Amino acid sequence: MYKTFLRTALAATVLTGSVWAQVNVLGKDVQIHGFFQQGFAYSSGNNFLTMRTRDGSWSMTDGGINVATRLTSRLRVGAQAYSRNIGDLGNGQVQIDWAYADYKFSDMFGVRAGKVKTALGLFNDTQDMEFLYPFALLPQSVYPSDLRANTIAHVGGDLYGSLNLKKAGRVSYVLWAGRLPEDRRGGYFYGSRDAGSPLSNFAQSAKGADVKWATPLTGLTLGYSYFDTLRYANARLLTFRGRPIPGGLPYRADQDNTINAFSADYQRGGLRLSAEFWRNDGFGRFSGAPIPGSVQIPQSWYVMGSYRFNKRLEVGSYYSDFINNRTRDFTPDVGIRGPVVSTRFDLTSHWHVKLEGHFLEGIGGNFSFRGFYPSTNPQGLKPRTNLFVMRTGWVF
Amino acid sequence: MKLFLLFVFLTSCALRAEDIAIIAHPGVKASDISADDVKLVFLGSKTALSDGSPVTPVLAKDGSIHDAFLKTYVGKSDAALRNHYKSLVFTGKGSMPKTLDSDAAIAAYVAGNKGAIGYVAAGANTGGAKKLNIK
Repeated sequence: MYKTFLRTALAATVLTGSVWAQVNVLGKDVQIHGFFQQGFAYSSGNNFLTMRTRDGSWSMTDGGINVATRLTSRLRVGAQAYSRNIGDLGNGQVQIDWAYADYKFSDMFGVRAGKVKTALGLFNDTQDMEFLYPFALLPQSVYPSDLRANTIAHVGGDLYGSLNLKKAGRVSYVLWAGRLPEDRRGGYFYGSRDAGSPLSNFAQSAKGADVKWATPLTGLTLGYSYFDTLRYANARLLTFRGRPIPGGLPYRADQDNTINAFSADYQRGGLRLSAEFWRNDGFGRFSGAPIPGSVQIPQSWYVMGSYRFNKRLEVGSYYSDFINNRTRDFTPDVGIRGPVVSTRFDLTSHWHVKLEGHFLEGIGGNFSFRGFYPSTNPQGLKPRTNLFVMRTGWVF
Repeated sequence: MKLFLLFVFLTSCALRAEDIAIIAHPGVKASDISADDVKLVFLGSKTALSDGSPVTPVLAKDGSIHDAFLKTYVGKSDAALRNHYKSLVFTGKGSMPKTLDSDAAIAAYVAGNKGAIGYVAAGANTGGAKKLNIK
């Protein structure tokens, strides 16, 4: 199924070449678009993102295809299928990425219902679409590839719109609520299993808001997002204080988790400058196991710049910083940070190649589930990782 | 002197707002549009004009009028605009606009498709499409 899906997506992207497909169905124009991305990663220090990058890994494949149409001047419907295989994550399962109806009453007010990409920060809803950026990987402090399912989409609805503030610019807003689909092939399940406490289910209900202000200064947008989840998990504790528990001890964990995300984005000509600061507060309760309640207070930020010289060449760099406990000073066992440099070559308007270097310090900390896992690093986790990523993508 | 002549040549070559005509299907009721609305329509953020007429943008593939239009009204480079549309398409929040090769093709398309809105050189033959005044 996975190979068939990826072959179809690849064949469609290559064969359609320079144009996306548009067909007429019952008098309506239906657009079909897709993308296919393949990466190679090689690292020193640690294996990254469950790939065996120390040996060089091609296990970095994803793709998607969507169909959408406008039924009336106000009503749009569409859906996208997506699949990924990043190391041991994703496993090529084809999933509905989004599928919804969108009714726009006016520029000030519209409604979306179904499975909707979640508006959070600058890039949450487009984090899989590396063809939009000069980077092969977005800052993993804010957009960890292993944890994408925790924020990427919700099954529920959006209220959205934009307000013209005349000389003060324009404000767009999204208010949303829904259920966050469980990802059994994502970082939480993988990391929990790795930590000796495998999950049997992980449910999240959530609500949030996103506001973007297009300021009077041309090209400058400021944003704030609020993201609030209630998480319920059932798990089994296999070890306690280093001792195995025969058969494991089942327990339930509940957590209130909020993210306050601030962003700034400036675009002018080929220049783009962006920055985000995310502050996360998680308060957990456990029942059925001898584990005290927990408080998780991570903090993430990055600053990013890129410049497109012409239609063939773009360069970019960012500095990304994550700390699992913001009350502590950075040490390699509680955070991950470091600079990234990248070059993007657009071979055609639909095909590009990127070369990227990551110079990382740290492994993230307990239960952060960000890139570095003990089971894929049996040599023992090391404090530094240099990572080279080559990634190519086709999009139509 | 050479530098001065080069400056005069370059400034005389630079296209301005008055060199670009915004055209719409004759069924569009409005005869005026603000520069801010031009930007929002061509970013896919605004799907109806102030009089309620639904509009769908059509883009030029490339060329000096296209570049001048983006610089004057949209404030994005061609690559940034196409990325913007891709981000809408792949999140389900918009469609990829039709892209045409020439002023004549744009004028013919706009004249023949209800709600279409585009841009051509000010002196171009707009066929049956109506020119909108910039407020």
